[in-house]
Parts: sequence; structure tokens; C-alpha cells
Amino acid sequence: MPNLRSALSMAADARRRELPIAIALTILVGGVGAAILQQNLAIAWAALIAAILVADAEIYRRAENNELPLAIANRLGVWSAVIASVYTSLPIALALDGAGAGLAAAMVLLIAGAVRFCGPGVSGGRTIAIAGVAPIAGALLIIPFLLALAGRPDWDTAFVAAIGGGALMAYVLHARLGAGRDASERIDTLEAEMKTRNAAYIETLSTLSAAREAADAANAAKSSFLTSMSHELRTPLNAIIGYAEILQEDAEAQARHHELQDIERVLSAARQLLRLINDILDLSKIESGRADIALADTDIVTLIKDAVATIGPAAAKNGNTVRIDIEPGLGAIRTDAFKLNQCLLNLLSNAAKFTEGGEIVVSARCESRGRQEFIRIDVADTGIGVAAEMQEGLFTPFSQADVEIARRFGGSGLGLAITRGIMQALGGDVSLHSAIGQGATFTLSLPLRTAARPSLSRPAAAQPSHGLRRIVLLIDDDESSRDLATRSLARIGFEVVAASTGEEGLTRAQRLAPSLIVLDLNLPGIDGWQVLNALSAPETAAIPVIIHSVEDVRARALAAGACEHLTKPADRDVLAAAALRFARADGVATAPTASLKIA
Amino acid sequence: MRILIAEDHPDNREMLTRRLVRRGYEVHTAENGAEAVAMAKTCAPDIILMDISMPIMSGIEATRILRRSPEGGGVRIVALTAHAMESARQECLEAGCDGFATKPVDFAGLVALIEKYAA
Repeated sequence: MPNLRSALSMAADARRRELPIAIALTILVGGVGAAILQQNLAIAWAALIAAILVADAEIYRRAENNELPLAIANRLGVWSAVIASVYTSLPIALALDGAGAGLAAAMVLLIAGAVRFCGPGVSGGRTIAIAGVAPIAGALLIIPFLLALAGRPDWDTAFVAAIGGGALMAYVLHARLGAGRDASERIDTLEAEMKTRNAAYIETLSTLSAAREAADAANAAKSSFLTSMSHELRTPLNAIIGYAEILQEDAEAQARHHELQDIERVLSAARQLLRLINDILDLSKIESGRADIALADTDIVTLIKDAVATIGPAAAKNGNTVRIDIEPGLGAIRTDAFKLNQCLLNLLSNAAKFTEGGEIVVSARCESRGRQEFIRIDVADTGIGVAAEMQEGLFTPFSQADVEIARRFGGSGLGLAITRGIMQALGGDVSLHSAIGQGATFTLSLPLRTAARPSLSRPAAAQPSHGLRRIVLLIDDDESSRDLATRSLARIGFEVVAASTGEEGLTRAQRLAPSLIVLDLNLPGIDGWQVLNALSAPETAAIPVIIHSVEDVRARALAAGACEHLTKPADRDVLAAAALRFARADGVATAPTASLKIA
Repeated sequence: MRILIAEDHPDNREMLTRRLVRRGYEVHTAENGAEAVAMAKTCAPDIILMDISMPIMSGIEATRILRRSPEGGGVRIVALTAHAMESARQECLEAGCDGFATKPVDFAGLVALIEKYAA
């Protein structure tokens, strides 16, 4: 595209530059022609050519600016031929009427015309040059015949002029087109390549959108499959557990202890199967963003004590002691108690399972990170620990530290994936600090102040009611992830402003004073870390920043002043919930710049 | 205390019947929603344990019909279903069920619920 553009630009430029000289020359030629011909035809010719020159310059100016209708832009060669044909009318008249001097002038004019049409920069392209030169070549060849027809053949002059003119024109054509060919071919190649790439791009886009639709459909199908599968598995399981319990009652009543043991094994296996079905269903709900979060004021101390009491027998079975260490003054938080309890039980049962004859300590305290206050619950054990390279994989569904662990300890490998999903839906996260043989500490963190219910089902409720729209500034260079995030945030009533570079983002942050910034780390030019650092300047320091990045650098992001880190691509509802939680309520109203007093 | 069990799955129907009879309840059974509606009129149960996915007439539809009829206004209806999604609970309660329990049923919990309604 730039190369095509520049060929046109050069042609338009040359026409602009040469217009005054060309008009002056035209008037001069017109005067000389009139003197030779002794008539006004030459003056009329000069006027016409001058008008054509002005029109030509205007046409190329518009072509350069893309203002020309396509029908004309594609026929610049025809236009060129028209100009050349009009131009040849004077030389032909001179040759026929002007005797020796006229014939000489005609030859000079024709050759000068040919040079002009092929002149570097003027032509605007190969086709246009050839279209301009062809009428002139025709005139040169036809003049001797016209002289003969007029009854005064001047063969000698005509022959010499034709040969000289023809040779000169051939030289000009050769020089111009020979040099121009490479450039023309390059432009042709570039144009073809561009078209191919455009086609490939469009095809890729449509493939991607089809793939996305297919993935959405597959996801919906998976959810509905899991739901009905859960129903079909539960129905026979109901009979298995029920009859086993009948047998258990009978055996107990008749003191058949040997049978009782077998029956309890059946029951234990059936309940394990039920837990697995429940876990899979939970995971499917989390993955499809239907985690059914119900927020309520929750006493964190009671919740922890209850969970520890529940896990007590399992811990004792492995010879472990459990200790609780809660910071005094820790009170109620607004969260989903059932879901948080589920997470805590997952961590506690893991600790009990992977520790023998050791200690499990559950500690809870409040801590502030950046601009946010968090409740932090640590579950620390003295068990086998987890190797560094295995740690991130633990949070992936169906994965355990290794095959040996899976064989020795059992379990589905779903617990931590569910825990992470739930914690993120609650606006927090779970992390692990461990080394082989040195125990493991899993940490649940939850924001202390949680906004109103992260309206997963009722987006309209989240709209600010006072008519003042809250602005989210999205700094991300990737168009598709900007688009996704914009939709997710706009859905819950935010005004979304996007910036594709760090520089642009910083400028906008200062001007807009948004309620929230969602920042990608991987940006061209200055990167997200530098942006985050620059945002700590006094005028922007109060704007909460959520880091949304493929890099798993949560700790560093929070330490650098971000209020949240979401792993990209964050689930639509996770991003929405985080935005609702962290966005400042007063956004635009506190804009420091006077020009933005919208309220 | 008279209990009507509406359940299409024969093993589950038989299992629940045996366990409740053992606990001293008078138990009647129906194999689908339509039968449950008819039996609610003839045997006048105190509690109906209503399966949801049943042929001929679902538990949801049967509950709606019972709630509109003069005989079915006062009976306690507990949905017993293998549908474990939150949306299933909502649907049951909206149709007029008093309680909701998922299968596999927690029998001790179910008995506690029945006793609560009996009190």
C-alpha cells in the first residue's frame, strides 16, 4: 500500500510543482504557433491545454487523497490518452500549414510532449505513460502521409524528422520504462501480495469467529451433558446408598460385624463416587461462570473453627494435631460462607491427607496490599510438600503432583481447581508456598471490603443510579482482548475507554481520571510495569489498577501497587466482579482537570 | 403420619418405602405425577415425597396441580430429585414445594425434615 500511494503522490506532487511552468510554456508555444500559422487556432489550443493542465493537477490531487470516484481512478490511462491527443492537434496543424518552419516546430513539440509524458514522477505509472506517448507516436508517423494527402509531399524533411523523432521517443520510452519497470513490477508484486494477505486475514478472522462459536456451542453442550450425566449417575447411586444403609441397619441390629465391615466399604466407595460427581458438577459450574455466589455477612472466626472441627477426625487419623491462630479483632466479612467453607475444607483435608504425625496450623489475619485490604487465611502443614515445578499444575483440573502421589494418596485432583475457581469468583485467590519435604502452606485471600453482590445474573442492578457514568480505562494492545473486556464491562454499566499503548493510556488516565484502570503488562513501547509505576504520580495515584495479564505475576503486581491481578483471559464474570469491587464510586466527579467537570 | 412417595424408579421407590415403613410411617406409592395427584385425593397424605423427572406427568406439574386443587392446598410436598443444580431448587420451590432434597438422599436429614413437618 505505501508504495502504490507514493507513486500517485509523486505524480500529484510533480503536477502541482510544474503547473505554473507548464502553463507558461503552453502560452509561449501558443504564441509561436499563432505566429507561424497566422491564425487563432494556436491560441485556442493553448487555452484548452492550460485548462487541461489545471484539471489534470486537480484529478491527481484527489487521487492522492482517495477522493476520486473509482470509475475515474481506474481510468487515468484514458485521461492521459485524451490529453496527448488534444496536445498533438497543434503539431499536426503546424506540420500541414506551416511549411519548413512549421514542420520543424511540430517535430520539436511532439518530442517535447513525449518527454513530458514519460518524465520521471509525472507519469504516475506505466500504463499512464504508455497511454500518453501512444498518440504522439501516432502523430509522428502520420504527419508524412498527411503531407502527401495535402498534395505537397516533403519526404526528405518528413523522413528525417520521423526517424529522429522516433529514435528519440524510443530512447525516452526505453529509458523511462526500463527504469520504471522494476518499480512497477515491485508495486504490482506488492499489490498482489497485499491482496493475498488481505484475503488470508479475512479468512483467518472468519475461521476464528467460527471457532469461537463452535467452542461456545461445545461448552454449552458440555455443561448440559454434565448436568444430565449427573442426574443419571445420582439415580442409581441413590439406590446403592439407600440399600446399603438398609443392610447396614440390619447388620447392626443383628450384630453381624463381619458383614457390617463389607457394607461400610460399599457405602464408603459410593460416597466417594458421589463426591466426585459433585466436584465435577461444581467445576463445570465455575467454568461456565454459573458459580451461584450468594454474599452474606460471615463471621470468619466461626467459619474457621467449624471447618477445623469438621476435619478433626481425618487429621487425628493420621496422627496430626490442628492449631488455630487468628488475629484478635478479626470480625465479619461479606462473602459466600458456604463456598469459602468448601475451599477451606479442601485445603484442610489435603493437609490432613499429606501430613503424618505432624501439625496443621490455620491462621487468619488482615493485611493490606497496595490499596486493598485482604483477609488472609493460611493452612500450613508439616507434610510431604510440593516441588516448585509441580505447584502451578496443582490448580489445574485432574492434575496431581505426580503419578506416584496419585497412586499413594488417591483423590480426583479436582479440589484445588475448584478452590481456585471459587476463590476467584469471590474476588480473591488461592496460592501455595512449599518445598519438597518442608510442608506446604496454602493461602486463601479475600478482599475485606466486597462491593454489592457481583451481579452475575442481574447486570442491570450494577448500573450507577445517579446518572454519572463510571469510566474504566482499558490499556491493552490486543484488539480482541480489548473487545472482550469492553463487552464484559459495558454489560455491567461501565463506560469503557480503550488505549492501545502505554503512552496513550497514561495520557488518558490523566485526562479522564477513570474509576478504574485495567492494564495489560505486555505492551509495545513502554510496558505495563512502567505504566503502573508512572500511574503512582500524585494525580493518578488514587485510580485503582487491575492487572490483566497472561503472566502469572500476581505477587509482583500487587507489590507494585495494583489492587488485583487477573490471569488473562479472565472469565467475563470474574473481570466484571473485580471491576465492580475495585472501581471508585466517584470516578468522573473528582476529575482533577478543570476541562472535565461533566457533573 | 401418612407419606406418599411419587417415584418412577422401582428400586428407589421400594428402598425408600422400606426405610420409612421401618421408621413407623404409613407409606403409599405412586409411579408418576398423574398417579400422585389422584392418590393425594384418595389417601390424603400428610407429606408427599415428590420425584421430579417422571414419565406421564412430572413432579413439577403434579405439584402445580395439587397446589391449585382444594385437597392439595395443605399437604407438605418435598421435592426429591437427582437434579443438583441451583436452578432445579428454584423451579421446585416456585412450583409450590415446601422442601427440596437431592438424591442420593441423606436419609437422616429426610427423616428430620419429615419430623419437623409432623410437629
